Amino acid sequence: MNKTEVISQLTPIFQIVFNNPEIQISENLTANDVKGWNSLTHMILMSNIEESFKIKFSLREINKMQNVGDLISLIESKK
Amino acid sequence: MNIEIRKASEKEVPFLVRTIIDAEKSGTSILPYEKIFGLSEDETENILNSILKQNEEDCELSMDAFLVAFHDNKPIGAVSAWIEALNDVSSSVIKGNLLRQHLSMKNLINASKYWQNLQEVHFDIPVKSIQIGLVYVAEEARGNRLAEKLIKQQLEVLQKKINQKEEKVFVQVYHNNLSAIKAYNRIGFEIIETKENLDKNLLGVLPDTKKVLMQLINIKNE
Amino acid sequence: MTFTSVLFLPYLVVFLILFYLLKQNTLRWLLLLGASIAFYLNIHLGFTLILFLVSIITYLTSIGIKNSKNEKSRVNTFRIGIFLTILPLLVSKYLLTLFKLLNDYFYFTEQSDNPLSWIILPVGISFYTFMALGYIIDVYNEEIEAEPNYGKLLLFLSFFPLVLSGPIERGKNLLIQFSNLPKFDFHFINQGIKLMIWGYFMKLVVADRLGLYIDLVYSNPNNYSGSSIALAAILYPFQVYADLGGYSLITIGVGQLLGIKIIPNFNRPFFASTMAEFWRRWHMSLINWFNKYLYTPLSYEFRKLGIYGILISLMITFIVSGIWHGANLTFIVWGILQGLFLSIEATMLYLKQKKGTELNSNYFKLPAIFGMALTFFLFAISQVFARAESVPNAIFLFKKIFSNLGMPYISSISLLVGLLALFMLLSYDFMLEFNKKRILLYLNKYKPLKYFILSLIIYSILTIGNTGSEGKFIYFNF
Repeated sequence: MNKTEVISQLTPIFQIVFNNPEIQISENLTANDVKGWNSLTHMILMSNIEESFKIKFSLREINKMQNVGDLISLIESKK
Repeated sequence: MNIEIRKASEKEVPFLVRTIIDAEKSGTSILPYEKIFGLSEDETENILNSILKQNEEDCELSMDAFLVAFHDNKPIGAVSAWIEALNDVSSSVIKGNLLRQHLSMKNLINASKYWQNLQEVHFDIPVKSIQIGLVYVAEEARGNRLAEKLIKQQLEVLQKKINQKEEKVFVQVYHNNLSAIKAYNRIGFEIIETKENLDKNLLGVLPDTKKVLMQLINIKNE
Repeated sequence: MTFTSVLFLPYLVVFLILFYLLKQNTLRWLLLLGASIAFYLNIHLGFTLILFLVSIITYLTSIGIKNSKNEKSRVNTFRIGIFLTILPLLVSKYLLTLFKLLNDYFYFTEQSDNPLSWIILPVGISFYTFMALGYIIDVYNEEIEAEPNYGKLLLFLSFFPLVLSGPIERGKNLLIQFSNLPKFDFHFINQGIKLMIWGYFMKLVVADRLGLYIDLVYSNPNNYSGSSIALAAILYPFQVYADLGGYSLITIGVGQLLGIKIIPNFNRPFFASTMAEFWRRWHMSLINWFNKYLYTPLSYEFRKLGIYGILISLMITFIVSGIWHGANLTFIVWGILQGLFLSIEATMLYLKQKKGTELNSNYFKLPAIFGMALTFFLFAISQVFARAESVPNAIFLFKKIFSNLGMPYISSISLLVGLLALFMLLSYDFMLEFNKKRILLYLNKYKPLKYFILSLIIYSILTIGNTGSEGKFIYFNF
């Protein structure tokens, strides 16, 4: 799976979880840029990404993520 | 044959749902809703039922978009059509929002892997043009040019709604559905664009990986 | 010795002069270490030994994790290390209560001659133990390198500005600074003194004056009307804010004098318009600790449960945070209330987001002031449980508020002085929150006025403040 494919699959997940069809994914995107992305919704987002991509994250991996770029490369490395 | 055509009401919703599912299957046994969202056919019916009853305007899943033909008070045909982005929101966004409201997160996430591919076979229709969602005629009523009648009457209704006669009219059809393409052709539609996505991801998800966009060039009045 | 002892400031000045006379970084952090140990030794020899013990366990665990040959020994070192690090805290804080509870059922001894009654809580242990745990977990998660120098790790845990009541610092932030202590800068002194003055004002003038009234009412609620109890209940959150917030500002100010940046503990909490926002502004170092090391792992474990997983994690986190405050049922009720408030908010937010309505941090679409009032009100209710002696006692207080309101007792000079000072504190916070232009008196650009106000504040601290005694901070009990 390459970066573009990951982004195109991630985009609807973000749109669904944060219920905002206008969210566009970029590598520099952080939780501060997305309304509603907080510690409560974060794990809901992560578990939905796991389900969509059929992968599993460890807690350590989730903790180390700084922005969506990190998330994308993590998914790439697992696919 | 004594046929009456009028706007759909809540009583006809189950019938409309059947027409939508029939059109989506496009002559195959593949129901895209089923595959994309991971729903059963019954669940799909239930969800379409409640979406139609909500009657959001101007998209393929609004009750208002339907005209129904009756014979002896029994629905035998239907057409759906709407004006694209009449209130500045495109019909695909309205449809997306409706699905978001009525589907569970799990179903939506299931769809996330097809989103990009589906976008690639999606046609963007010019704002304020008319789009036909589906035309359905029951088996026993076929051969009466009922489809044509329904479309013409629906166009009149919509043209009245925006006070314009010369409007562009479009319809999207799966490429495999030759009988539909032929039927639209007879009324005056012609293929103006095709889109295809050969990604293996979409195999078995849509009735055909190729879609055609048809436009009404000139209404034939025979 | 504490920040409010007579000798603290003279000692601090001597220490600062020595600190800045030394040029070599090694000598400087050794001086810091010496001063920190002396500061804590001055409180209690036994406590200091426990601190040494915890620091040695922490050091050995972190080095052990780093040098582990395989994953299995890494995990085992980590688990054993965590257990041993937290053990002194568990023993000193909970063993006595546990024994009493069990004794109620099994009657090992007479309640009066409890064989464990010699156990006392070493002041600061809840704070430095949490710093140690966070450090070990960070090393285990490879977020920081294990500190090879035991002395620096001991300094991290015993650093005198923090050791008694936090802020609960992170190795990530503090250890690096010890390795690179900055040169003298007048700016540090200027900033540090300002922070300390404001901290002393919050503690000695606002908190202590309000505290006199609140203690009076809480210690003998039978003698006071329902409205007096209600007033004390409303004032208590302000007292805690001024007490721990003042302490934290002094800590941060002392750090600033040394050129060391310490994380903030409060961010004008009473301007939060939701409970969730409140907890991002109140006792931040503790809540960040719980968020990182308890809530996040829990919500990870329960992530398949969606919103329910979030609610379970919130509830557990706040109950544990309640227990952290003390081995008393009152704190468990306090934690359950916080968990409940936050769960309700989270559910409302979740449903709203699902419905697709515009997300708004203010759930009720009311002006922010209503949200602030409601948030404060809910917090004040929960704080009654934190302050009351027991749960029945807290319920008695509520009953009295509703059954026998009466006239409030307000003819107390302390209360009036406290309220006036509180008004100053809140108006200062208000300006910072809503008007960044700093037109307020104490930060006025016009220097004579600024210095006049500053001296007024110092004067009020010296005359009104209960200076010189071994002042008690509320959080010394936790």
